[in-house]
Amino acid sequence: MTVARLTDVVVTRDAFPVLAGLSWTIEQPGTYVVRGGNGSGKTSLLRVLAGLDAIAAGEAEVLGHRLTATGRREVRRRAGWLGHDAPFHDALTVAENLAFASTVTRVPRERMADALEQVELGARTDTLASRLSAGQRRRLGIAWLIMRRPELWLLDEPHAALDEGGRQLVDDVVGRAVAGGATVVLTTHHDVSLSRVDGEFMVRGGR
Amino acid sequence: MWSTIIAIIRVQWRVEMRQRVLLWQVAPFAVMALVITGLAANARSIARTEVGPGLVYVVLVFTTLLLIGRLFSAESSSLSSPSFAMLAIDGSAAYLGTVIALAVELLVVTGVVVAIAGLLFHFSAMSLLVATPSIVVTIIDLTTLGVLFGALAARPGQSAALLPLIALPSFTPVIIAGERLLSAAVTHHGAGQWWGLLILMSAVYGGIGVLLYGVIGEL
Repeated sequence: MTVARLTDVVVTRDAFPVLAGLSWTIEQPGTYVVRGGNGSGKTSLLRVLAGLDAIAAGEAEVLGHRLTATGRREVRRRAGWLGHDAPFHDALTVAENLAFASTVTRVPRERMADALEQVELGARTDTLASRLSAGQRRRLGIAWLIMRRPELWLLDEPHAALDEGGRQLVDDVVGRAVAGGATVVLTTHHDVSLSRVDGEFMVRGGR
Repeated sequence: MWSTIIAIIRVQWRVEMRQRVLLWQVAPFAVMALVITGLAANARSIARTEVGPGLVYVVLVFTTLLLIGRLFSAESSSLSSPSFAMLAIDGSAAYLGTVIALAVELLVVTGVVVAIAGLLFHFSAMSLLVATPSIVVTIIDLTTLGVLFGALAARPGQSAALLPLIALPSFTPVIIAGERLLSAAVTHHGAGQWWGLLILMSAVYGGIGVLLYGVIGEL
């Protein structure tokens, strides 16, 4: 099954086209890297693939769902996102944040301990999210993706704010997800050290 | 659905227990607003009249707006964040959880406001007891509406001033009904016809919220 097929997709924000007729097809699961300069539309492309943004024109199908309002919700149930925003509530601890997310998405809570160990936050379960560093918050976001096991991983500059160990961790997690049959799409400005890249896509001016 | 509702309620109350917004910001605002209103209106001259209940509800409306505005401004960054949207939380469950959590918090503040109003405006304990059911339903009505409008006003690009602008006109019939029932309890007159309006609005506003809250998130 084709993972995603975008044809002449246009997305506008405040009447400005952030994607202007972009076409891209991901035929099979694997690791895909999206490149492009600042403001080129990399994050907007990821948002469309995540079902976060409605398209103004063109055709889009992700994980077998056309991106209507209902289809976008279904995609969000099956995709995972790691972005620049803080994904968790500052007043809750690491464990409370993951417990809440797992409850509302019906993900087994038993996966939490292993996920936190993988991102080296096992000793921080009772730490408030507000007391985590930027890199630790990013690791917490990765822990949630490990728990959720989405079919489509959408990682917006996943290596940002991470030290060398953290960047290696991201690469390892991506490798395991793809080995498990998932598709990973990540944006970056930089060279990546992933062991396997199945395709690259360059975005320029929203195309 | 119920597990999601309970999870949302628990998170909101846990956050409140840690941040104490209700204790240190909302309740002091409500008490100060009531005392200042009472002083401005000369509390002694309006004791045991129908003016007191009206002032109580004016204070409660502004307290409701403050609490909802505070909730959505604090949450707006996370509510509108891609990561939160990716949880694909059921809109109806999110709405009901937020309404229940917030209504209980508002009822706590309302208890304080009504108790102080009783002292300021000489409401008898018995009249407040009689009025309690109508006060509870009025607060639930204000919360069902307020949460819906709070979500609308918290959408990216919207001004913080939007919440009172769209909420106050819709609050009006609720406030009138609540005030009439509190006045009736204080002055020992009948006003049973206002119960129908209060309950009808609970059903209508609650139904609209359950249906539309998720849609607002998709806008």
